[in-house]
Amino acid sequence: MMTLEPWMMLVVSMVIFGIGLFGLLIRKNLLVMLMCVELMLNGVNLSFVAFSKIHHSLDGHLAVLFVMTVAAAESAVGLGLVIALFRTLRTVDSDQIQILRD
Amino acid sequence: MIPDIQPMKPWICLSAGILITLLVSVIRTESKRPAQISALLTLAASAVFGFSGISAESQVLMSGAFEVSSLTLVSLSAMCGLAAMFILGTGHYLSREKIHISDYYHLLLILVLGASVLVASRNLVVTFIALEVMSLPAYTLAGFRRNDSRSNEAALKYFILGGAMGAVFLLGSSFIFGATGSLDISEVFSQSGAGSAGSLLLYLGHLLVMVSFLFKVAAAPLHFWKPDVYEGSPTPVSGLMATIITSAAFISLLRLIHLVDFSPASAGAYLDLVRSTIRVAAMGSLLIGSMIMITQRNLKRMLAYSSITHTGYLLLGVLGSFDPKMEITSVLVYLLGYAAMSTGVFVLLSLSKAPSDSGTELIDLTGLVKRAPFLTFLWSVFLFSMAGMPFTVGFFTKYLVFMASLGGGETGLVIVAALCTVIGAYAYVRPIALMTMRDAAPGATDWEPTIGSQIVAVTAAGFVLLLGIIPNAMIQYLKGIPLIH
Repeated sequence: MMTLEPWMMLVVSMVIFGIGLFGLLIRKNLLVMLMCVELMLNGVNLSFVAFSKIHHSLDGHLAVLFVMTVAAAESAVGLGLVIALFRTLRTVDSDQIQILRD
Repeated sequence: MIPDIQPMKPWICLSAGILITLLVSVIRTESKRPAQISALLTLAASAVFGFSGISAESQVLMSGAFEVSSLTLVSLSAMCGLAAMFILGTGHYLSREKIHISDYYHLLLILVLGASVLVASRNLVVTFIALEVMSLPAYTLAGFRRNDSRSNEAALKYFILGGAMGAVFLLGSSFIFGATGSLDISEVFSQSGAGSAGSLLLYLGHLLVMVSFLFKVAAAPLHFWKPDVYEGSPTPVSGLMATIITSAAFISLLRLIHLVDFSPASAGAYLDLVRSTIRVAAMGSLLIGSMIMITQRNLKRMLAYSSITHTGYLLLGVLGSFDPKMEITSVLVYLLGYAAMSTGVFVLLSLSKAPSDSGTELIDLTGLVKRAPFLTFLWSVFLFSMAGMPFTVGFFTKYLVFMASLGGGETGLVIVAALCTVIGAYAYVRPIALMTMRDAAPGATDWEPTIGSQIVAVTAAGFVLLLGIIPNAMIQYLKGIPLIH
């Protein structure tokens, strides 16, 4: 029988974080980039849980609750900014949003 | 047990003030004046509580998560003062850009609250929340010129990069938690000499946390967002970023760098890694900042590169803080001096009537001495101070970080920094030459000196000159302030 060990959770969490980071770097759609940031945060959440299990401590679980709250606020602000940008530029493609440059 | 919250009065006052300001702005939607007054009263009350609470001993509250000490109270009061100066000095800009609405004020107060909690935090989760409480209003404020695509772009760039770096900070904290089983900064501090694989995880986490803060203070190579964000944001918001956010992030960075106990032999290699990271970041910020600064024609972009250079100088002070351990006077003095001159410069810049889609360019300054002699004088004071001329605060702050860095054995870096000062001086003196020696170019914009902005700029200039001539009082005052209790 196979049991769920903390190291497995850590591997999954790092993979999720990696997918988020990779997506942030290669995708051009702002909404997808936003989701990638959320994915990174969720990856970290899982690693907090795994470390909590290793240390038999509740601190990590508490951290997760706070991070989820902050992530919710962050996505609200982020979506608002994307909508504001879409109203003026009519696009959510990050390649076409390059007014500010040297 | 009911915790004693008496020492947290300044922060509680600020939080209550945010709610009152929010309420006021909901009730009186047709006028922004009540929210403005409420915000100013909140900042004043909080600063008074903060100043009156300063004493030699410090207290740790909320199960070790929150520290009330002279460092945190001085920072809080200074941040409240800076925010109040921006409110008083830039109302005309907000009206001209048609963004003078009451929501501006409670967002600004939330930013100050986040920054002041960030400085006082002793726990990695609290640090993260404070970082986000500071950053989320900053993203929103950066995009406050809703109908201007430049402002929207700046806000979104800042948001995506800031959000990703927030996640990197959290990943670092989770590694630190994994290595030590604690999120409390002081506990991590005492356990870190353990050695073995656990400490490898700790060092990796620490490095990630450090990198995320180097992003916040825009140290090279993580500086690229700053010129764009400064240019696109409303001018007062760029000023808030240059003063409050930079200061809070730097003090927090110092705390987190000294989180690891570097004394045991196992940490020796890691200490070298940290030092060389900061050295590279400092050298990159100095060189990139000063080189690109002299090529800029847009004043806000120029000031953004200037602030990248100042980050480089501040990192010299951080390097000096390793030896003798945690001697942070030079960084604190530099932050205070830099905040004073940035406040002045951004308040002056907000007086330009240039249309927001092109921004204020160097050419708009031409012939200013004939059009507005007093304004020219104020510009010169701040620009000379940024260049590091004697008799201004900029000279002494630079001197102190150079000395601190030399004490840490960074001779090569100090030579580079001195060269960058010379390059930078050209960029700062050129606007002064344009103001005094040229006639107004055709199409140069008008400047609109209002009473409030002039009072604020004169106060800042007085601070810059006074501390430049008699710096000892401030240095002695800040010298006794320890980083961590």
